[in-house]
Amino acid sequence: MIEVETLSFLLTALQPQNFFACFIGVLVGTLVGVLPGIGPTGAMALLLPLTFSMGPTAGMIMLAGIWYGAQYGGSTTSILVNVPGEAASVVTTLEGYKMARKGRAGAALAVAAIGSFVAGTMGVLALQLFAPPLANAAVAFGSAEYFSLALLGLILLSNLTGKSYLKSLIMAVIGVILSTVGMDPVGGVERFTFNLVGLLSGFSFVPVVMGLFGVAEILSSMEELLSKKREVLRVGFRELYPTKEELRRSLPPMLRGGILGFLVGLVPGPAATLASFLSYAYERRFSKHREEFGTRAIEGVAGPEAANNAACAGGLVPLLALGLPFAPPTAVLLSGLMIHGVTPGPLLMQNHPEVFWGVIGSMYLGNILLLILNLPLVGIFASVTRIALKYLLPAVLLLCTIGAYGEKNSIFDVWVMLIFGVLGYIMRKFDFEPAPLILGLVLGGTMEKSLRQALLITGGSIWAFWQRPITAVLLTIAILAIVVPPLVKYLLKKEIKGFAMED
Amino acid sequence: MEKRGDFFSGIVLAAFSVGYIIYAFHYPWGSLANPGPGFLPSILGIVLLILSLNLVLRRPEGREQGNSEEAAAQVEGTSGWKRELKPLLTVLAVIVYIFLLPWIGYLMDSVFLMLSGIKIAGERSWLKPLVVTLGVSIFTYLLFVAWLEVPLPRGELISILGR
Repeated sequence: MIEVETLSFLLTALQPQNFFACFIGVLVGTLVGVLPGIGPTGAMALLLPLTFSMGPTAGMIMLAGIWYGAQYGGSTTSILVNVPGEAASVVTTLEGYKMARKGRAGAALAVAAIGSFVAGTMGVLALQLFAPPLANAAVAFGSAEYFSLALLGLILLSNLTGKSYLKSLIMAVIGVILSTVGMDPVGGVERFTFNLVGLLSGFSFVPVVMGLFGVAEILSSMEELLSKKREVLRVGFRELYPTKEELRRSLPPMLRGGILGFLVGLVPGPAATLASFLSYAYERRFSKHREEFGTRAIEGVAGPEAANNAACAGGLVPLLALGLPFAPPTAVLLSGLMIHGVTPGPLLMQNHPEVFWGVIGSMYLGNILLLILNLPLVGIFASVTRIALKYLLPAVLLLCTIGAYGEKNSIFDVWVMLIFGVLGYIMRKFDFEPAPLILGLVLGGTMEKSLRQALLITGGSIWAFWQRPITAVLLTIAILAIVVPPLVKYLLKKEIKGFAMED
Repeated sequence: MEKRGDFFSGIVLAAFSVGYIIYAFHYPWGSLANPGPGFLPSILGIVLLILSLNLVLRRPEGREQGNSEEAAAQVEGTSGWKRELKPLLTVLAVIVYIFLLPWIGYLMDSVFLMLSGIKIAGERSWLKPLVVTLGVSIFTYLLFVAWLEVPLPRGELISILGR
């Protein structure tokens, strides 16, 4: 049973300010999802300065709204333009656009929105049930546990991100290296600042994110501007109703996608994207209408679109319960909390129940708002995709500079943004992913502090780490995650060579 | 292409990690029982060095999907340096923007950035970009400066001239 107190905190989401924040968040999220060229992480960082005057609860509600709102919006562009609005909607182009070509655009949009709603709500429910017990258990965590959790998170993330494990791991290490710039978290010694005042407190998170996820994206898109006119399929309001048959076929994939998405969301990594790919793969393999896949299978829209929404809720579990972000968007949420002086961690639920429950409550509300925005009003958002990129990109660039400047009113941070933008652009060319770097930067401080404290407590004994059961399990998984993938690859290669020899 | 890219990025990363290690060794290492500020940086630098050397030395991994995609993109787009021209000009525009910011103030500077961005992106006409630029600049000015009170620079030059 939900206690009365909890319920009252959940209802804080309905206070006018929070309601408004939620509405703005999901609206911006939908727009960001619809528009290719800027993803939810960049947009959240962009609007971070807006939360200064809002207070932590409303601020978090708005930022979270952008994240899950983008999962709704992304499907619109995928289905109507055959261009994914953001990464988690890539698979939706496979079936969704084909459906649109066959005149079922309305049905595809409706199923995507309904699926997002069903799974989004399932995800919040699971979040509400799982986060509190996890937080209660985590209160007992010491620095050894925190160090091993952060380490495991980074290693798993590198395993799951990008084409190359080695490159992602390199990015994660560089992220942690960047986090060592500035004051040393234990003794306060100034490190790697090169006498630059702007680096005294380390690299600011916002300009780095804006650079890697905003400016780099703009620069890459600039390359592809070849005045290619995008064709946007039109949908009438009346076409929006899926047939009974279509709904009947979509419901099981939605429910499966919801469960799958939530579970994937718990694992560090590009949760929303991964969840949608896994759901698509599952539906294609086990669907009764396998022959329709690749042409117009509605299951291939319902499942993935449901999964990426539930993944957002899953991704919030480690952040709200442990205070550790395992995906770039939750890293932005974390820095939002810190700006407001709210320390994220297992005590968040006790010390700031209005933030903890307010965000969860707002997600129920947000999903309802999103259903309204994305069903009857989908036509308006579809017309947004007609905005020419050559106008959109400079406008986003301008917003990025304001965002980078606005956090600390420093021109230095605008430089930081530009430098990381150029780096991110070059990194993309060489297939290096920015996500592990961002998380390394965010988790680095926690990692160093907890490692040094843990060593202090154990008197420098690394064996003592293995005497703590949770730490031992986490570290063992981390070691396995390092050793197993290259080993499997090596063995597979040997086998292939063996086959080749036999031939 | 892929292989050569790995080789060069590996070299750059290795050089970076050597520089980082040299700096990291300046800070006290402490002991295992009481690690100092140089402890983790030294370890990180060495790990990065090992990883980047791995990248330099690793063998090409057969046919990767990325290769064909990349090749396709190259055929589709304008090839060679022309592809990188627009991003390069954009970066230059931002650099000029940052230098101008304290002088001409946010409003005029954003007009400059937007307009040059749109032109770099390839818009030929003048009227539409001007209207859009003015609209966006004034809108963001009202939103951030007037409403949200973000203290964006007003511009030295303007206050000097205004006197």
